[in-house]
Amino acid sequence: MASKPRYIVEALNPNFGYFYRAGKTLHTSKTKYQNIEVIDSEEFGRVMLLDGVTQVTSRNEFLYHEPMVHPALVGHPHPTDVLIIGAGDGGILREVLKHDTVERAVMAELDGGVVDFCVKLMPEISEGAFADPRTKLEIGDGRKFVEKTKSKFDVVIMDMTDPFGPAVMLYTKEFFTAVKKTFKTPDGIFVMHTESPISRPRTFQQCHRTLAQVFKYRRTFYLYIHMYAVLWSVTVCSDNVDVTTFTAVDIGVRLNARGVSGLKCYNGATHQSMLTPMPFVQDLLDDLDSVPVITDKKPIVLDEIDINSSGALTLTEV
Amino acid sequence: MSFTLDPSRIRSLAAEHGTPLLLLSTRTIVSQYRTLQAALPGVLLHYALKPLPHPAVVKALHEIGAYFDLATNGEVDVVRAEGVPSDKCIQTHPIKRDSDIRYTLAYGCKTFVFDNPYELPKFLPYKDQVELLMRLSFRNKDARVDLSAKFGVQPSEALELLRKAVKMGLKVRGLSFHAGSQLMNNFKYVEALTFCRQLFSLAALEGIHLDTMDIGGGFPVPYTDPVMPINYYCHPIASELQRMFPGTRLIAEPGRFISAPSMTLVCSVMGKAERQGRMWYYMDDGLYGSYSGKMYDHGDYQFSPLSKLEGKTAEERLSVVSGPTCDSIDVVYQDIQLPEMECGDLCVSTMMGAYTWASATEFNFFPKAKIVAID
Repeated sequence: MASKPRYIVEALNPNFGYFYRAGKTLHTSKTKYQNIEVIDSEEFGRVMLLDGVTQVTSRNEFLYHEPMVHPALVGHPHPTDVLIIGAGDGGILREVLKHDTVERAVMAELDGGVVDFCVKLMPEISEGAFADPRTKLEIGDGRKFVEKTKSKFDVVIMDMTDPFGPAVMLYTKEFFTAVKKTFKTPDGIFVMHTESPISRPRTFQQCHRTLAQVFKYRRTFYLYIHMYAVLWSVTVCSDNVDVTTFTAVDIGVRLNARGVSGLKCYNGATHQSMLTPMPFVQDLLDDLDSVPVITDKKPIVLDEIDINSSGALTLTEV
Repeated sequence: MSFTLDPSRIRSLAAEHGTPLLLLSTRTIVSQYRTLQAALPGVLLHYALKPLPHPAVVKALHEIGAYFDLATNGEVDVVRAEGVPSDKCIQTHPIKRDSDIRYTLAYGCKTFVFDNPYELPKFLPYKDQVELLMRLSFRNKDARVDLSAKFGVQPSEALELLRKAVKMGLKVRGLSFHAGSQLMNNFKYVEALTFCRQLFSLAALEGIHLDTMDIGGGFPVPYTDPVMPINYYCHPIASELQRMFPGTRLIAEPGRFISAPSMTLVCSVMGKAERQGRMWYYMDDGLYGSYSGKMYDHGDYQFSPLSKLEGKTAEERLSVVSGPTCDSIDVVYQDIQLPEMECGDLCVSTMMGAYTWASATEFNFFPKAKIVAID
């Protein structure tokens, strides 16, 4: 009897999500913090799941990793020191190291098991970035690292799980303030993903309201990410740098000056296009007062998000 | 070969003045300055005298309110003779003698450049007068002339040198760099500017407030190959200056861009010979003269018999164009297709304004080409 196909369901909220068909399971394991699984799939190629939730895919991963890195690094005049919080798969790190100005990329990842696992089973994501002499891996809590470090950074990139559960403490005003204190100069840039204005509009607004308490400029890039199957957002924040002031040519020239080439998603033209909010999204941004600031004392987000702790729903039949 | 001078006028000028002759268009000088100014709004363009330190050029530029970049006392003499106010000049030679500093200060020019700690004590006697720019080195293999090989502090040592200068009580107003000369890729300016912006910020955190950014020169002109139009070329540079250096005094030091298209060389055939199947033409100007840029500036210039520009066609054969001196190195073109020429025939090269007459010698007592202003 042929085995029944397995479908991975990714819920974006209790009413909406998507599925994809899983192929062979290549490896399952348990780290100190979570269950890790690597599977094959027709749609995404190799996929890593943490506690059943899709984290990184080998196909089209650039749709997320490039916009998370390049607008912020290109926006900074001369980024030499970069801090990455999370992103244990190494995709962000790989993109950061493409900029030849970078002298030091510190990665604070909670779960060292994820790094080991990805280096072994999905080496195409990090492409050797963990072996680069500029890389410094700090295993531990990202927030604690930011609060304690004496190092100064030009760009801080946060690639976290969504703002519920333990990660919510990385979405608070207090944390963003601590991030800003690590900036080497007033040109410092912070970038994070800011949820989906479609499937989680209130959380999107809350992220923005909270960031607005701390940073003068918040510039959001809107992108379609295959593994999220919905309009997503990445927000670049700074007190000095306004990434909307760059023309397409300016972006191309800066990429050239840094020796960055061969990108698949990001260039001068897409920098402009991704920065353009649709009118309904602008309406959300104009109405931030309707949502509360996320603080350490009140770290709640308003959208009802039903990402279960035991992993995504798994359909055995359709 | 693009050409705007009427060949018959060239004939009459050559008859009047003799050859070798450099025909100077100050109108071209002015239009080049204005074209670059339009491409770099808000930047104070200081014409760098070195490629063509000729009084007529300085006079024409001074009349339109230009600024000037000087490197030597001789250049001070040229601008002073034309009545250029000293506050419109900067002296940017990174290495100077005390007498150079004194001479320049006596003229009234106060802005100097340093790039290493040994230069700093030279300014101490004049520290209440001088204002300094620190020159950085950004190596560039893409430029025809890599101006950062010889001068400029390494970026990694720049902040330390800046601290040292300030600690000595010297007034440092800003930074400068030379991305290269005849530089085809504009992103080298952006690379340098972004680094300088970071240095401005890091210095400000230590209480050192810089207010001047000098982007040097290097803007390319078409010699034998086309180059990017200057407004496109400068767009990202202007954009970065506006974004990263608001409220900063911005300076550029164009030399070649202003002067190269302004002169046309007219020379004549002194003698000819047939050697190993090739025609050799011995011109009255060569590598020791106006074509010195071929040696010192790695230059390449177009060359044509005047008869060809008059529309006369004739069978061409592989030829050698030689300079007049006894030195066998004095060959301008090894393999060039030319129609048969006779002694006394005139030839022209365009784009001969930069690093030609300026670096020409009078070896063998062949005099330098005479410069005649034509407009």
